[in-house]
Amino acid sequence: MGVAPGGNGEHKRPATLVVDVIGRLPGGNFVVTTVDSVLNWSRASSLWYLTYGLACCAIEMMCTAASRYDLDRFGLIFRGTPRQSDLMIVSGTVTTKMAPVLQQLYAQMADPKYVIAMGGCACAGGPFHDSYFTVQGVDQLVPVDVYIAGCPPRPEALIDGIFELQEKIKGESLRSRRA
Amino acid sequence: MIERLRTQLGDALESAEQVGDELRARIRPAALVAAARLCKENGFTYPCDITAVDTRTELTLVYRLQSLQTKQQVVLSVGVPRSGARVASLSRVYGAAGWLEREVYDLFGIRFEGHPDLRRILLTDDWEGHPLLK
Repeated sequence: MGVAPGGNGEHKRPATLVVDVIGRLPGGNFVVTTVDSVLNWSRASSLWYLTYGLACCAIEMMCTAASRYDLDRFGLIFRGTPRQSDLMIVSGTVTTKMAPVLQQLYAQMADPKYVIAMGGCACAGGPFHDSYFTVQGVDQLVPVDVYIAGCPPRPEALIDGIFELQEKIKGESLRSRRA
Repeated sequence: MIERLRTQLGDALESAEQVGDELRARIRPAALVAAARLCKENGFTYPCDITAVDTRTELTLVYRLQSLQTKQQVVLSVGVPRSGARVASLSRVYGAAGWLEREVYDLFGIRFEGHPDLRRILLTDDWEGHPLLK
């Protein structure tokens, strides 16, 4: 079993310490994994995402959110502020001037937080590859969980990326939380 | 309208032609403000666009002014040298022109004299050069 709580000088959050202790008790692992599955289910099923459209991909994102594809049925709801958001869908071209804004918005989001890079521009610069004023992939600014190819991706592709993210969230554990 | 421009500007009007709903006039830089003022007095109150073209021999500033009543347009073009170009700002004639002039300054490096706040608008302040110059 792991090191004593806080014993290696590494900073641990109180919640992580509690999980460590519970995990050591007889049958504790069962408690942790059960709590894991409940938490992960609720997190994956209520991904509120930041309204952060930057270019033409945002049109597809809006279309995905509207009644025809209806992201609401997966528990995804647009939020107007990073403080209420779990997910940032970077939908469009990030210019060098926009980069510090994106980083600030990401920093304002509450943990646990996730990022989807939607479309070629957000993944790797896309048609603006080697351009003088475009960030060559949003992963140079913030950690990205899911990349969606396309220019722009169809709503089905965005929904598929969201399912991938939900699978990823369901595989997380309180012990290995990155947050 | 061509006649009015000709009488007002005289030699400063290098060429002028009417193409459909569009009056295309090329004028000397010194006459720019007078020409814009004349256009505004004659109903061309909306500055649609200000941009520039790098022809490799000069920079051609293009001002597109529209009349919201008649839907007619006046296109004023002004030739300025490719480096160190300075031209009078139209921000006192058209308030909205200031934004477009900032964009032209940002991308082409043309300085507008009399502009209240000539800063870069699209690129960051520490960017070096002007990207649309060939």
